[in-house]
Amino acid sequence: MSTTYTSIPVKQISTNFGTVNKVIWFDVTGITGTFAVNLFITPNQSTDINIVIFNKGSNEEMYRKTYNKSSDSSVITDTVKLRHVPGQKSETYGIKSL
Amino acid sequence: MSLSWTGITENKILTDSDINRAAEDGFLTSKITIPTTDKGVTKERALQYININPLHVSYSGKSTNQLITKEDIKKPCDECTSYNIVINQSDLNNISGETDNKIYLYYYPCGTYSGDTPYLTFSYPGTFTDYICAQSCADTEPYLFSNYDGGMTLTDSSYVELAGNCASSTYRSISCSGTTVYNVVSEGFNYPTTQFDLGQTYGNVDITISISGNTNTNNEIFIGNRAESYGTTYAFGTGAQSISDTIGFISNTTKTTLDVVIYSTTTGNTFTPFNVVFTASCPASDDPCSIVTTGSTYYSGTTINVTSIGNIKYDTVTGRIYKNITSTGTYTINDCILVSTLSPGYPLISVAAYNNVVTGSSCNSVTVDTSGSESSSTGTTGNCRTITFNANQEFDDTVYWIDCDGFFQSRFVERGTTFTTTALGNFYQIL
Repeated sequence: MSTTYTSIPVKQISTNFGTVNKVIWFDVTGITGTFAVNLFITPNQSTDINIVIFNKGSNEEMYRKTYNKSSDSSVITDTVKLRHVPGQKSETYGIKSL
Repeated sequence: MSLSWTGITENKILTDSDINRAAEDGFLTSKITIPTTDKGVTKERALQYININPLHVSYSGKSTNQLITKEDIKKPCDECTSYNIVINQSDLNNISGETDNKIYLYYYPCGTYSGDTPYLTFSYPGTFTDYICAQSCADTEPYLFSNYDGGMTLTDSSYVELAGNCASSTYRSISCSGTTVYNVVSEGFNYPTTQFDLGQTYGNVDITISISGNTNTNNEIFIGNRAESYGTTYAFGTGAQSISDTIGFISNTTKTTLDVVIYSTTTGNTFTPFNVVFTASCPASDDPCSIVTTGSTYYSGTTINVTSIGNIKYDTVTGRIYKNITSTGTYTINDCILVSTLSPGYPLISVAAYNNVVTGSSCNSVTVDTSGSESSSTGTTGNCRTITFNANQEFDDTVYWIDCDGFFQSRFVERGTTFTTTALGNFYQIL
């Protein structure tokens, strides 16, 4: 199993477009049981970041946490373990940055 | 008994029943089943009930639990509204002989939002049914006017909002995979009417934006779902630009089209139209072999043309980086960066100016246990890659690597934790 490192930036506050939230999607095809999502959070200096992991099919929130704004740019590492049962949840999950 | 939508005054506090009837009559689009009580509707509940423009000034200015009035509710920006136009002879009589004898109807046709307001003229009376299709969230709503003695408001002529969304006859959807050219012709917001249809209400979409011939100084492009405020914006300056990224799309309604909105103004010069070449791909298919988080991708070797020295900033897997650039001309960013986060280095005082951003190659990754073995590795040795040190042995460790600018680095990694950074090739040591 390989892992691709990607990123979901903090919500943007645009002068012209207002607040712009973020979402990314990932699939867990072939997974039965628990899988891990490794989060590397760099706190934003001006706004809190709400990270939400949810299932597309059931729209169930599996994880929600607020990472408070901070001038400390140290990376916060969180490992989220989620239980996936095929048939009960769709294979597509989303991560929102709000 | 609720009033019809057109019979409600702008300053009336809306009830559940008002919203319900407006949705049933086709003036608004409901998201859920709306109650039929006389309870006032709060800002928060309005957003749950119907599709609206959340950025409309009078709406966004209210607090979550504040009650809303009709004037707070505007349709989302991808919808348009038809109107009947009624021109009354009495108004034509009043202006006769003093003006050009015409009544002007100013409005933004569906798909246009700002700049000089287009207009139609009427020199004879009548009721003109379903005569115009106006943009629902333009700078101004339709209005009638006369040039009589410097301008006068007409008393008997009027325009009547009709139910439904006439945008479907204006917007054109194309396949989610392909390239189209958007002409940015108006100062302010430009809403292209050709939209990529993703065929589903969610997904990660690879996009490329290429801009040429732009001389306007203040520019920003939005891609995503404008009504629900999910997507990404990119600010850019003058000259050629090239941006590649992956956009996460989500819709809580049946909407499957990707919104692209371009904002452009200029300071000190005349606005000049320019073109944006936009390429999108269909949402990525499942990858059954891995848990892949396909959000924004990191790229190495991105180049910029520096026109004024100073600091730039960008995000890497280890956080935000500020880089001081000391000479003009082409500068190559060796780090694995999120190209969408590349910008002048505010809030530092000395910030660089640049143009012609050319995205480099996507970064691969390597994961190393502190026993020294690689648990995964993709990409080519010698290229800038993300590297994760996994301290899964019995002791804390110090790890060493060569960063993507060629400098020797070290870090203490506590037992049971991981540390991710970027490195050239597979040169690393663990002691």
